[in-house]
Amino acid sequence: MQRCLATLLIMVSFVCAVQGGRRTTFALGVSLEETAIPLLREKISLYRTLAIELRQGIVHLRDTEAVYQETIEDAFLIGVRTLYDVTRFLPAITQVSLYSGIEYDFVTAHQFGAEHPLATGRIIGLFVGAEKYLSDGLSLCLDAGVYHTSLSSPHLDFREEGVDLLFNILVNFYLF
Amino acid sequence: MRIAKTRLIIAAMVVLCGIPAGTQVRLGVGVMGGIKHRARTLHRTIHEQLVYPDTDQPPRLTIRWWTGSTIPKDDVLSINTFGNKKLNMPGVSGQFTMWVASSGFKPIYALCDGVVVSLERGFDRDHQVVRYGRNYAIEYCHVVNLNPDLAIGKIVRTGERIGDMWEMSSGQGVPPGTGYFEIRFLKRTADGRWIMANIYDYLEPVSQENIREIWLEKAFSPTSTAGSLTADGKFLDYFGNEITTATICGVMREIDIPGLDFTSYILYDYRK
Repeated sequence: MQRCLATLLIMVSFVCAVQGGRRTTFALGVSLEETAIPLLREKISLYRTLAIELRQGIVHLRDTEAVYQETIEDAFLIGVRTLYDVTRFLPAITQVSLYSGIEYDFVTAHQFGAEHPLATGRIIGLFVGAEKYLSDGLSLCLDAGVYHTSLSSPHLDFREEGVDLLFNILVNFYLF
Repeated sequence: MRIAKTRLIIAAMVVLCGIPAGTQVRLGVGVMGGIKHRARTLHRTIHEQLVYPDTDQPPRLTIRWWTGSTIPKDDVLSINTFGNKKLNMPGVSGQFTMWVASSGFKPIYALCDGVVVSLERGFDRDHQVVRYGRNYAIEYCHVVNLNPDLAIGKIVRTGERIGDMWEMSSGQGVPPGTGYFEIRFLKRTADGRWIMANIYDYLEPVSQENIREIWLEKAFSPTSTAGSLTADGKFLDYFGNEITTATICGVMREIDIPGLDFTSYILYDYRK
């Protein structure tokens, strides 16, 4: 599935690149993760300096090396990012466009065969980053931010939360 | 450019200063790694802390039959103990269950205090698990009509009703109205795995004596699955160990079959 998705994105990017002209309005993309499956993203420019991004991800939680994880299956994420272009505040930088924004994600983690999720929670983050166009339809983004993750059991009084300093590596395939 | 750098540094410092002291900060690439880490930590935390009572020691089990602390032998159709061959569960040989057949829908009561860690509802889903302390758990198998007061995380007391024994269908070759239930006694090993232990060893004396009386009466019947009788009159368990009428057990005290782990039974949610 990952190969198919990557192939599709590359083909779309290639087709769009033939059209010529830098595109900035709508992009499909991926976010590279520590886990095996990249996160999917859709970026839409609302105004010249403001964009919004929808994100969907899945991660397999099962770990055969640890006995506790044998009953946890997958976690799902759906979230949104707002991206604000701050390049104009830093006029000395011309090679890349800079952005900052906030991110909010909703997360659920599931147990094998369970009626209810093991945990639900959310991620809130603040980040700054830079985007570099590699071609008219392909760009690479690097950003870093502070994220707060909170997961809790829906029917038991257990909670797990903490702060992450995260680096994000994003690839955008602009279609329009 | 210098001003820009200063602004960025100030902004970063403001954000980082907002992190409460003592917070464990994790470095990573992308958000999914953090989710994986925290979900697994939460799962481990629940596993370690959803415990009652606060002990590592085994329970003393009391069987409260539907008629009281003991039952007349005639109220039991068949019984097995212990280390029997379970013909209906290929691949899981020699389970250490206590298997009792009677008429269906008799109430089943908790053998000891504990906390509910798994409940099953639905067709052919009828195993309920109550954990005792950190290292022991009792799995009540084939228990239906659950006590509506039960919920994951609820503390139950000895003698509290779990549910009712299920009733077999007429197509299973038994007289109408026949039911049975099983009890597995689970024990956590030093490496964290959950295995089966011989429940008879953990029964308090009255329950042990009552079970033994029933066993001596019923275990040698033609329909019994308690063991096999050899030509020279010895009674053997599934593993070929002689069962004595004094202990009504073979020599095995625990079953630790490679690849068979009951960790998945120590869950924290209703299972469909």
